[in-house]
Amino acid sequence: MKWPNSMKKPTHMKRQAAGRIENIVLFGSWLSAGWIATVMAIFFGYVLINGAPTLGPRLIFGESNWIDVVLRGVPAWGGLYAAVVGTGTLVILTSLIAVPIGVAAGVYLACYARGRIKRFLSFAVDVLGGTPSIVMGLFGFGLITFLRATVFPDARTSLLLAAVCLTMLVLPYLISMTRMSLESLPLELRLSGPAMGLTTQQNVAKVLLPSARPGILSGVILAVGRAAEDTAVILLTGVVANAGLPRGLGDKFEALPFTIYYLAGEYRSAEELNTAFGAALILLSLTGGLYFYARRLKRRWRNST
Amino acid sequence: MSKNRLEYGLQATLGVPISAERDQDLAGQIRKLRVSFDGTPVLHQVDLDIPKGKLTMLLGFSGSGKTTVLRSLNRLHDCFPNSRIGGEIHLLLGGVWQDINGAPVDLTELRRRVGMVFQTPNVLPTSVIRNLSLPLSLTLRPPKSELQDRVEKALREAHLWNEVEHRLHRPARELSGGQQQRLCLARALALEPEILLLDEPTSSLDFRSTEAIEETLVSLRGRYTLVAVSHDPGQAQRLADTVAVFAEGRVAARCGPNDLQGYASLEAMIRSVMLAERSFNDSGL
Amino acid sequence: MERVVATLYAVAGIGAGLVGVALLVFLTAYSWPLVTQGHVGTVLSTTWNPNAGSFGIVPMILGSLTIAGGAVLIAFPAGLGICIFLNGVGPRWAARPLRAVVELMTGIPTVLYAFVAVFLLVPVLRNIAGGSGYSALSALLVVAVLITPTIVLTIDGRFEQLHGQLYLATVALGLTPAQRLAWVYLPAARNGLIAAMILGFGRAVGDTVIALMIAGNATHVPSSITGAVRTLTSHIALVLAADTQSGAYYSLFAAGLLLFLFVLLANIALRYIGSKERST
Repeated sequence: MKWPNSMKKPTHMKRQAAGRIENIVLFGSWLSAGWIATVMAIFFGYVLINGAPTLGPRLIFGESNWIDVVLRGVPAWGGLYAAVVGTGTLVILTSLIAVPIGVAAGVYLACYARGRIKRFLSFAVDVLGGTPSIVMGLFGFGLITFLRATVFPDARTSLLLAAVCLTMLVLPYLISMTRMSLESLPLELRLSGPAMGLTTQQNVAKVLLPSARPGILSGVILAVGRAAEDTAVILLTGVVANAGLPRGLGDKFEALPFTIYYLAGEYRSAEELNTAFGAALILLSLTGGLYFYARRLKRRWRNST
Repeated sequence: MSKNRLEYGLQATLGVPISAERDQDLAGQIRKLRVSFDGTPVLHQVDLDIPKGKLTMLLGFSGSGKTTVLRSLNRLHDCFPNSRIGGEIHLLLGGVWQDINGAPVDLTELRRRVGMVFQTPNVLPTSVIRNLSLPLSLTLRPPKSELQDRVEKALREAHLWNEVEHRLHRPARELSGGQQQRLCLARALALEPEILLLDEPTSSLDFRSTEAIEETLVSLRGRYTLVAVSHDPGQAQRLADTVAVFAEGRVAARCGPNDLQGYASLEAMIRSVMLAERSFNDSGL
Repeated sequence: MERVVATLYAVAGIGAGLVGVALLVFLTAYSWPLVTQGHVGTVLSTTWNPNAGSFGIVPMILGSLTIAGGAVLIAFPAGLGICIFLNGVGPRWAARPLRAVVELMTGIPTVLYAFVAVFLLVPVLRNIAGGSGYSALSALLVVAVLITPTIVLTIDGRFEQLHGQLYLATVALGLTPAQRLAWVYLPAARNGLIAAMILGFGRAVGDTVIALMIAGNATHVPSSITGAVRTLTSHIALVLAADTQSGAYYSLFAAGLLLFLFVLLANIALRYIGSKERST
């Protein structure tokens, strides 16, 4: 059925009388909204305008030929290849450690834990989630000094250590997203498994986890973004400016956020500065892309429950 | 604004006044009202006259469109961006007939003058007295000295004063459900409305509280034009001056409260009304 | 099988909880020599000069408080204003994209804010206030942007709950959006506001990279807001990166312990607020 044209929504007049405080509220809220919109417009505009022209194979591979870099391991002088690979490896490694633990812990909190244990664990997870990332880095550093003094005299900060410390950083995200996704499933769904005679474990594996998957997945994505962007943890756990490609878990590495941090203070030429802008744009696109993907997942999930 | 808000409200019209002659007994006229949500029509061409100073009861099942009509009268549909509304709604406000659906309207002023009480009591999360004084001082802006008197008057009108007199500064949520609902009624009355909309005001209450609300409504009849929604024919019989029976987004029948006698349930009544209408149509008249 | 899987879940859950405990134990154990060797006084002094044996972190505590306090002072009212804008004062065409921007901000790498500020904000402040531009003021302005989404989304979550209960009621009373938000939602969301402030402050104290890159990192007690300061977080990063002798390490673990205890306290406060919320 179509409405005739005359059925447009009637507009309404502005209220004429407004109190003084009300005017202050109105003014303040427009001002704040305008402030953050302007700041973020400048931020995105600046990164985009300075970063976009640098995009291209040169940004990643520098002076070297990309085939040589990828296949023969030739260093990409002046390019971001090592940093991109470093961040990629770090994120994958962190996910491999953190996702199984985080999801399992989330399941435990949502479906198994009761009473005092549940309260204590969720408190501990909240505290961990609020802990500054530099403290995780400090932990990693302390761990290495401890290992050196005791069983591993050769222990040093490395890719593996960074991944372990980043795991501590992203675990709370994974746990609370998993827990929330499971706990917000409709009650009928939560009860349908037991009603069919499934055991708790079967219910979790066959009914609850599949239903909560989009929510859990968006938690994983958030965690990946967090692992990719953090600078403070890796600063203390093995990142170096010119490490090249990591050759193993015990090796030093480069990373995109650290490259940006490093070049912002130490750039020696316009070229290096451009590389920093390129790295900034790549990192922004990466985290932005992850955010929009997580958002789409969350929306689809909300529509389906 | 140094001017007293009350004077302002009485003098100004909300939007464009209408000059056409009307039946003197009316306070509102709805013509060809149609409302849709997300493109799905929920009201089709509703015509309804609202007599002045009387209680008009809109009777029907949930989903029949009665609440939609009610919410059209204070333009509450504007709060739902997926709604579309058409047709004419003319209300007599401040002694002037006004088009509240077509022309530009001061919505906040309209909503003050056309008060509303909802199905479940929705008190503001603050003290009893502040529930009344806050909206009052934000909309009507009476002088501070009058505030207390107006609050007391409204609470007395809602038959609540004696029960809350000594705990005006306690949180409103501590009151019982029925008291909360009468607080909501008092809150609407404090704003000096001309028309009062009641959306199943007793459906969430027990028998005693229902009785108290109904008594209050009876005492308000005459001073205010009341439009109430209900699904209980018994309640319509007890309270209504006129009844409009809604079914499937249309007014299925209009009648007096006494015509409702003899039906065992709302369902039986609506069925027979619709049957009568159908046979009337089939007879080709 | 059933038992094995359940045990695995329990191990993961309890293990994750114990990570928090492990952090506390580790930081305490590593700061303990300060107590046994009687260095607590040196750490709680205002002088940082490792070569002379003084490891005072008071300037860094003050630096952290200056930056976090200043940032909250800006971001809290602004966040409140944005929340009011998003929940009815702002037109839909503006509110919807703005909400998306605020949500997106939660994912933007901190290092990028600092990076952009180095080129856009620091030179401006250098011209206005003199000095190098690398100052507490620069850092707190950037940290304010960083914590704004935390504050906005915390308050917004509370508003969303209130919205369901109160929106139509307040509209039907004839209140304007600004009146509804300022006189009804805000007072009702009081606990949410406090929570937002705590979370925002915590996030500001925890930031490392912004302070590291643009606060100037001077180790003396901050004298002016346009002067260079060092925070507890950037202090840890700087000293470890510089590889000083191990004498300085203990004070770093003390700094870490301080940060952790602060988070612990903040979370206890949040719990308390939350339990009060539920009981009303």
